[in-house]
Amino acid sequence: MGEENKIIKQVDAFACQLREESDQGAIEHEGALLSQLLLTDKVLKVCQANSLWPLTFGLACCAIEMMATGMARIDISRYGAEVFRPSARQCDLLIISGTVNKKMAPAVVTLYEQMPAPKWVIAMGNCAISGGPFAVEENYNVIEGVDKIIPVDVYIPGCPPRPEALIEGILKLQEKIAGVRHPWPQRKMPENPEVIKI
Amino acid sequence: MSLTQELISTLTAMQVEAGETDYSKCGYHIGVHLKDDQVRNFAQAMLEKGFYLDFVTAIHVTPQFQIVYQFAKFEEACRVNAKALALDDGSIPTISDIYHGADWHERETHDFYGVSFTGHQDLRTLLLCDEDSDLKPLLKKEEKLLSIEGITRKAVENKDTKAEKTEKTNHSPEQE
Repeated sequence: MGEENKIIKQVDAFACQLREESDQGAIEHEGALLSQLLLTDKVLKVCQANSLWPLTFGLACCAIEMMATGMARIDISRYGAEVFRPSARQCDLLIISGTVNKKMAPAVVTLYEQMPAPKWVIAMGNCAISGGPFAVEENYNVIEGVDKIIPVDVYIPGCPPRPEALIEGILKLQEKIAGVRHPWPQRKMPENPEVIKI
Repeated sequence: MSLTQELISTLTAMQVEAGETDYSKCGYHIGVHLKDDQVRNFAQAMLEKGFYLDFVTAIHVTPQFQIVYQFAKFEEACRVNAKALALDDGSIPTISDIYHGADWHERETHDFYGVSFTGHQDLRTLLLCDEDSDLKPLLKKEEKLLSIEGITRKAVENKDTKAEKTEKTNHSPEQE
């Protein structure tokens, strides 16, 4: 037991160290806007929630589901989060879709730090949440939970989660940002179900 | 003469211990056992025969590491599994200058087991992060360490009865 625990502690200690280093350089922001006008604030938050720009950043098999979510069949653009950007400077949503290992962890922290605030993080899948199948005694290089290195807003369980789950995660994040579940009025389903029969 | 036969006779002429195996049971056609000073000559011979290197790995056994090389050929179904015993200090001559593809395989093996390939030009860590260059994560714990006999399935190479097969399953789950 002793030796394996030591190894896990090493991974954890490594993650903690990264987090500490990152926190030191971070500027605390309260999420406050320049003007504290209530209506402006509300409008801006609704806009932010409906225009999340995720980073094109896939780490493992969850990324395949993330790609599927972006494609026409599931179509994440229905909720305004389709603008996947290849540069962290242009993003405000980091979807950690997969396993974060020790070698990757500094890169993840760098990407997070490069994103301009306000920014949000979704931990997608069991690996990003808690290490998933890698959270075993013998684990020597998987960070058990990405929240050990960067703050996470929404957790989406699943191995991997289905695209619907990712959409639900996006909706939850919108809820967190704007305070209501559908900050933008949604189209109502037709009352007569015959109409949408495919 | 089939390729298998031809290769075995070539290897035997080099005083390398090689024998035909049952592919359906062990997944390769020729099993080769090497001494540490034969590794490079053997690799050279395989290259001349037109084989490609599939992988290099190590098995952590006592008293020294067993290094496994597997070769195969595109034109013909002939897979060669070569095992070599490392020296006492865990080193073995590199074949990365003969098979360039062995370069990263050997670095990976060095990462995970700490086998040092003498003559390798660049044994930096490949897969592990730099902080973990001394970790050697795939080494076995003391109590689980077995000898080569303990991990060898003796019944594989000769036809055996059912009774022996059940005895075989009682062996350690680690296979060759």
